[in-house]
Amino acid sequence: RRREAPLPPIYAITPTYSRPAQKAELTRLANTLRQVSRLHWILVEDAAARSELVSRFVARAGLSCTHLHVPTPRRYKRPGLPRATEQRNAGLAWLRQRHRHLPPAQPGVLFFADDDNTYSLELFHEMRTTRKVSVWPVGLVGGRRYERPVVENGKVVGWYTGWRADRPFAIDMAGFAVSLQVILSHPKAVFKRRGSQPGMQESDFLKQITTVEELEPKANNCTKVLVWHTRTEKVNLANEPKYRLDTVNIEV
Amino acid sequence: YVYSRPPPWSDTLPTIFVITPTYTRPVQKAELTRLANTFLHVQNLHWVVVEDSPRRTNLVSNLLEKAGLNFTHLNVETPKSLKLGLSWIPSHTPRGTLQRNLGLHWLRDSFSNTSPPEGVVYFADDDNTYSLELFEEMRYTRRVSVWPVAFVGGLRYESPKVSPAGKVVGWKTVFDPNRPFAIDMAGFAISIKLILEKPQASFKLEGVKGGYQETSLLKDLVTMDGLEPKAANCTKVLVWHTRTERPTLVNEGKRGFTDPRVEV
Repeated sequence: RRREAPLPPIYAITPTYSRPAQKAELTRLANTLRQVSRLHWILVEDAAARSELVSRFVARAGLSCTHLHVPTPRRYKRPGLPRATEQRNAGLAWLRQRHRHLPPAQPGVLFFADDDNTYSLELFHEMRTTRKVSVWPVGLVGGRRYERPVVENGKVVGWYTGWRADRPFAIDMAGFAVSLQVILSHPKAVFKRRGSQPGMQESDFLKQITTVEELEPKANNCTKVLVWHTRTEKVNLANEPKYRLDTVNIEV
Repeated sequence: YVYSRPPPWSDTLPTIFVITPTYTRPVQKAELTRLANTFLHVQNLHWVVVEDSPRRTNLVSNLLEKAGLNFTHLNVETPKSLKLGLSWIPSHTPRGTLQRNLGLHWLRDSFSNTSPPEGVVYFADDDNTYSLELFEEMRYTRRVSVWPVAFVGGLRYESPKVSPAGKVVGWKTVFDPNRPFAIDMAGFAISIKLILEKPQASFKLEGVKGGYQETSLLKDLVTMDGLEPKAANCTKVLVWHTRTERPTLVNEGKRGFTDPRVEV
């Protein structure tokens, strides 16, 4: 497929953290992202320093990638508290820093791609034409087969969701994309910790940058599921010895 | 609209036939999607998808048509008696046996033993994770090749034990390492030639102890010292036995809340 004008770049901000399945998750996510033209991956580790595993992975991934890291403060690592806040914000900060000497009217779209979700290639096609903020359904979330924005006459008028439909933006992190221009022209818009209730991360972020009326519905007026909130089972390591017994040190 | 195409087919590269059993459940489309996204990178890959189903479903048919891959779409339903009878531990009921055998049957039907195509067969479950490097390791298998698999047998990985001379001499597993082939389904590939040479070799359906499914096929194809170790003499992990959580659909209620016409 050849186009006259260059495609607007897509920036995928992926927070990631160390656990046995990490390399597997990054591998299959990278296999998807590598199929997408002009995609730049912003991978942010929840860590005090870049890990060897992720560094090696990035070097061989064959993707345009920026490798960042920022540790989550201990006091925020409690069940029920929002996760990956600092990492997503680090991704936003990098984008803002990179464009700081340029006018805000930059082509490009960013979205938040958690490392265990599943993305169809069609989703990237849909989000690339985002002018401000676009939205679409998300599969397997909110205790339902899918959640989605309700669309009438091409405009979002409500939320079809299994949990707290009264939120200003009752949408999952995987259900929206933001144009780079909007991020650059709202330099203070970040994911919040203070005063942010659980489950309100997306809503608190989006209300800083857009209104429901402005939202652009994608995926056939939000009737197709192009992304799934899959979660990977915790790996069973019951047979691992307490101390490493193998003669070689193999990365998994 | 096809969003991506695999690399152009080559007449000189051996073909990788990937047999994937699959069954209907909420995460099925997601699993097949991310699998397809991986396979799109691999040259000369032919995906044989076998549904555990009385009929080929629209969901899988449409997905395969739009994926852009070379594929064959089959189906065979596992009888309920088999599904329940094989193990009293539901999570250990060996799934996919009939489906894998149908895949082998299709290969034997499609290609003649007298002029077998260059290539391998690999059994790829739809929830595992595969690196691209794995496919290049298996492509030139002469008989049966083997490599480590992550997250099986309660370990970070299980692996064949390889001697300094490069021969498989045993199995580095905690669970029953004395099995003739103490290896996971994702840890080996078989040359097409061998599959066609031994038309009786297939997965045994009944009376198979937990962990012996792979042995039930491999014992009729090869002996341990005939195995070809890959992945740097089995020191690299190129495939992970990931499992996907069952999504909690509590808010669907008894009769379903969401529109069933919206495919998930």
